[in-house]
Amino acid sequence: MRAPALLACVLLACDDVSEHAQATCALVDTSGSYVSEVAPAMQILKLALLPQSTPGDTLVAAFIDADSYEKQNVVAVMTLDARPSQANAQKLAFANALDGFSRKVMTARHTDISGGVLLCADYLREARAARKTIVIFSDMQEELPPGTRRELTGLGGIDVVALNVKRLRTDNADPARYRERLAVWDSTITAAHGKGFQWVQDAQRLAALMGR
Amino acid sequence: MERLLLWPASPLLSALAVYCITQLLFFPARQSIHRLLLSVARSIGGGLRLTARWLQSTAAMARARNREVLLESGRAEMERKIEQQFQRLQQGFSKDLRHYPELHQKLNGLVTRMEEDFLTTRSVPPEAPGWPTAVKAVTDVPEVGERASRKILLEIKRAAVESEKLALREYRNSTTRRHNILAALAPSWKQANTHAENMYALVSHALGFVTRIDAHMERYEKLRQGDVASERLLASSALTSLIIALLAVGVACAGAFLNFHLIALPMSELVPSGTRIVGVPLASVAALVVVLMEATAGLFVMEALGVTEMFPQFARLGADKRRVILVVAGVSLFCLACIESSLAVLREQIVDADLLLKQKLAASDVPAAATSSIPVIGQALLGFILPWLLAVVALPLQLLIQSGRHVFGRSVVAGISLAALLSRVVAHAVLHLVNAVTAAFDVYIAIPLQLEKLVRRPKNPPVTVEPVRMEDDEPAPRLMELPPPLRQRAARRHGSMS
Repeated sequence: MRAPALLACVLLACDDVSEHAQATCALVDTSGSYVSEVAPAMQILKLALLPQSTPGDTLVAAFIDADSYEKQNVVAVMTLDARPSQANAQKLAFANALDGFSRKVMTARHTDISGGVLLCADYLREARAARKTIVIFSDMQEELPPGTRRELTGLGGIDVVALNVKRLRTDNADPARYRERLAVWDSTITAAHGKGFQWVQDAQRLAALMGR
Repeated sequence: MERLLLWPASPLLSALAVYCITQLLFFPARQSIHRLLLSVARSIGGGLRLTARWLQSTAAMARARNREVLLESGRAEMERKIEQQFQRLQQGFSKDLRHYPELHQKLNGLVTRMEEDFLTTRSVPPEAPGWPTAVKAVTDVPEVGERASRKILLEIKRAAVESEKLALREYRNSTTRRHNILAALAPSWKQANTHAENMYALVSHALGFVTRIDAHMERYEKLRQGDVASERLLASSALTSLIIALLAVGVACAGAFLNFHLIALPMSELVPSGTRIVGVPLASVAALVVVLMEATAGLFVMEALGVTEMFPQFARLGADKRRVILVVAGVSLFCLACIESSLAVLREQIVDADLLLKQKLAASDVPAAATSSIPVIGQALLGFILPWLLAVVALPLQLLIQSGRHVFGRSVVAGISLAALLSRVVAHAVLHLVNAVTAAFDVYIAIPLQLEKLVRRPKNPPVTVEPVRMEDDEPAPRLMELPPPLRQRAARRHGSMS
């Protein structure tokens, strides 16, 4: 009688993998103003994000172009295996996919950031993770193609981090524009029930923001 | 503060008004307030005193129980030592004195042979009877002129001389033979001496056990009689043992910590590393379980070997069953050591793979460091040896439990005694505080009291404030206990009062 009770206690004490796993979606802008930053962004992903990921974590890499809310914008998706050796192999494959993308990246005419965020949100919703984050490498200047309508919704429980936000020429003329642009994104993410919006200059802080 | 004043503009007048009002209120209620304070003092102080008494009696019971357990454990320990000495004595007799009959027989044979040889040397050959005298007599015969007689005499002389020489030679030969026999006896004497020394050593060794048993028996008798010195010795020994055991267990815990970290990382390859139990990764829990299993297997090995006696069930098991448990536990420990050794090797591989991955992710062309097999071998050896070292933790653990019980018991007794003392101190403090408050109250209403004294002196003497006393305060000395002059004075006063 005692043994089953003890076993039940142990099983109840067992946490699900998802309670400690993280899901991260990296969005990389390929518009003309940011395409030169794609390779450094990939390097940051490989050096700061991949090594910090642990078994059970989900990683998604997608890019922003004129129409970002498309499945073909996803570069790579993976959930790390429970075994560290397998996880290492997956990380290596993910890094190769990122390298392949950075080699054949094409400049986009428009910048559909919202579409990319929605795409990431869809993928993150499927992931069984306690913490969900969207990391955006962009100048955060959205330029939707004509006829495209975007409204951010359903970002519940998702953190949005803008990393390596590039300053535009107009920002140099008036830095308030840069800050105002980010403030608008902050309010947009908050309105979409996002957990929070942060913008980070130092890539080294990414690991700390991810809680690792 | 101003709110408390009746007339904030004139604080002095307000204070005076408050004083007068309180005088009017407190003076009629003086006796009731005294009773209230007395009641409060008795309830708090009495409760504390009762608590103190209960704590003291509990401490006394715990002390007696501790003493009983200490003496009982000392007796058990002494019985174990005596039993051990008896076993050694038995082993010593069966092992060392096994050769005694053979030795005795050898010694006996040697003595017999020496006796026979000695008797042989005692058979002295008969000395040639009077040959020198006869030769001298023949030599002293005057030379005769007759040729025939002279020839006869010469023949007689020659025969006498030859006979003398023959007898002398035979005597010398016989003496030489006896000397040879005596010389051949020397090795036998040496052998006999050696055998005797061996016998002495064996018997002395056996007698050493007897001396130790005597000493243990003496201590055992003292413990049975509840000797105070023996009790103190046991208590001191328990504290020393506890310190030693704590040190040893601390070192073992450090070893277990090292062991744990050696296998925690590779364990993630064997169990689902993402799963957690109460926030701890399952791989870490699994590593901890392996370490605990090693310690448990070591515990069973020690129990089966009879080194420790933590499980009474083991003592009741027969030798065969103990041997089976020993084999099972030993094999388990060996398997766990092998597993840990392989995990240690796997750990090194995982670390190398991680390093390689980071280099590939960084796409750095830094040449890989020259790999050496020394760390792998070292970790494998460490992984194999640590479980065996961890197994020995059973010994200090037993010592820790045994001595910790005594030291903990003594600490509990000391804590209870301290609580009792504090309780008594607080009770006294409450008592005197209430007395002081009562006196202060009377001082506060001193004016109405004095007025009352002036008005009512002839009829009703004022109520004197009796200091609060508790039941177990020191009572007033009885008449017979007072010194003679005081006793007479008290008797006179008592007579005048009556």
